[in-house]
Amino acid sequence: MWVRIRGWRASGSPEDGTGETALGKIVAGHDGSVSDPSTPPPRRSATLLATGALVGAALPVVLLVADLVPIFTETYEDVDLPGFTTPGRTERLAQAVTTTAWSPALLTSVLGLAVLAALVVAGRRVPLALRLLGAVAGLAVVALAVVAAVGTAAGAGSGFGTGLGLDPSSAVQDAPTVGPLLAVTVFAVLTVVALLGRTRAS
Amino acid sequence: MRILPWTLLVATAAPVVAALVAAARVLRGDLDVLNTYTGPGYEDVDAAPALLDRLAWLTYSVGHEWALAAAGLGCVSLAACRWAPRPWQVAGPARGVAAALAGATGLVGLAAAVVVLVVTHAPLTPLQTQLSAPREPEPGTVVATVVSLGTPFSDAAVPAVLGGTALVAAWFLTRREATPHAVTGP
Repeated sequence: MWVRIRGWRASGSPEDGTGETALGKIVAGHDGSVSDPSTPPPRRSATLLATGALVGAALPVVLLVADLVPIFTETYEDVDLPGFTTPGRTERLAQAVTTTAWSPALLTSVLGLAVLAALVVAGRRVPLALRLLGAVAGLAVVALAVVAAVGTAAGAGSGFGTGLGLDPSSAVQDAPTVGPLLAVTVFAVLTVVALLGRTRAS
Repeated sequence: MRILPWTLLVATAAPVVAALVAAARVLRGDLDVLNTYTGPGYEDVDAAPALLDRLAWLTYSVGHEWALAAAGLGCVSLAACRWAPRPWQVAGPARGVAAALAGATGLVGLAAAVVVLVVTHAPLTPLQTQLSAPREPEPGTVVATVVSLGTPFSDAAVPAVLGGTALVAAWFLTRREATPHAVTGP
C-alpha cells in the first residue's frame, strides 16, 4: 500500500487507476487494459525498493560465503596432536554443512529476491543493472544450495548432529534439510527467470 | 498448463512433504535402531519410548521450522501470483491445488505448534524419568546442572506464525472476488 501511494506521488498521475482494489490497480496500470488502451500510463519506478531488496538478497549470501571460506582454507599448521591429519575436502564439506546456517541465509536471500522479482513481474520499472545483480545473487543462491545438498548427502551418518544419541539423530534431519534446500533452489531459479525475462512494454 | 506456477507449487510442497515423511518415520519407529544408547551409566535404561518420547524427538530432530519457512514463502508467493500477469498467473486448477496446499501447510504449522507445547508441558515419560535419574559421575568429569531445556513458547510461536501465514495465503487463494483485472488484457 505504501509503495503504491508513493509511486503515485512520484509519477504524478494518480488518476490512471479505476478505483478498484489496490492489487487490481497495479495490474490494471501496467498492462493498460482497464484505462484507455491508446494512452497507457507510464510504468512506475521502484528503484529504491528494488535496491533494498537486492541488498537484502545479497547480504546473506555474502555473509554465508564469508563464513564458509575459513572452513575450506584453514591449514591447521598450528595443530600439534598425535595422529592428527589435516581434514580433506569431504570432511570440510561435512563440517561446513553441519556448523553453518545455510537454510536461514539462503531463505532470507530468496525472500529479498522474491520482492525484486515481484516488482519486475508487477511491471514496475527496475533498472537493468539491479535486475542483472539480482540474477547473479539468484545464481549464487542456486550454487550454494546445490553445494549444501551435496554436503548434506555426503555428511549423512558422519556422527555430527544432535549430541546425546538417544534420538533418531541426523538420519531424520537429511530429508527436512534437503527439502528446504530443494525449495530454495527452485525459488531462486524462478526469480532469475523473472528478472531476466522479457520486460513487458506498457 | 502453465509451467511456472506449477513449478512454484511443487517447490512449495517439497519441504513440507519431506518433513512429514521424516516425522512419519520417527513416529513409526523406523529409526529406533539409532536409539540404542550405550553410554556409561545408562545400562539400566530399558523403558520403551512412548508416543510422547517420539513426539519430543520429532520436535527437535525434524527441521520443521525451516521446512515451514520455505513453504510459507512459497504459499505467499503463490497467493501473490494470483494477481500476476500471464506467465506467472496462478489460475484454474493450479489455484485450487495451491489453496489446498497452503491450507494443509497452515494446518501442519499449527499442529507442530501444539505438539511443541504438549511435549514441553507434559509430565515426564518413563523413559525420560530413567534418563534423568541421578547417576554416579565418572571420575574426572564435570557435572553440570541443566536448569532449563529450552524456550517452549517461542519454539511454538515459530511454527504457529508460519502456519498462520500459510492460512492467510490460503484465504487469499480461495477468495472469490479479485481476479478480474489480472485476466483481462491480450
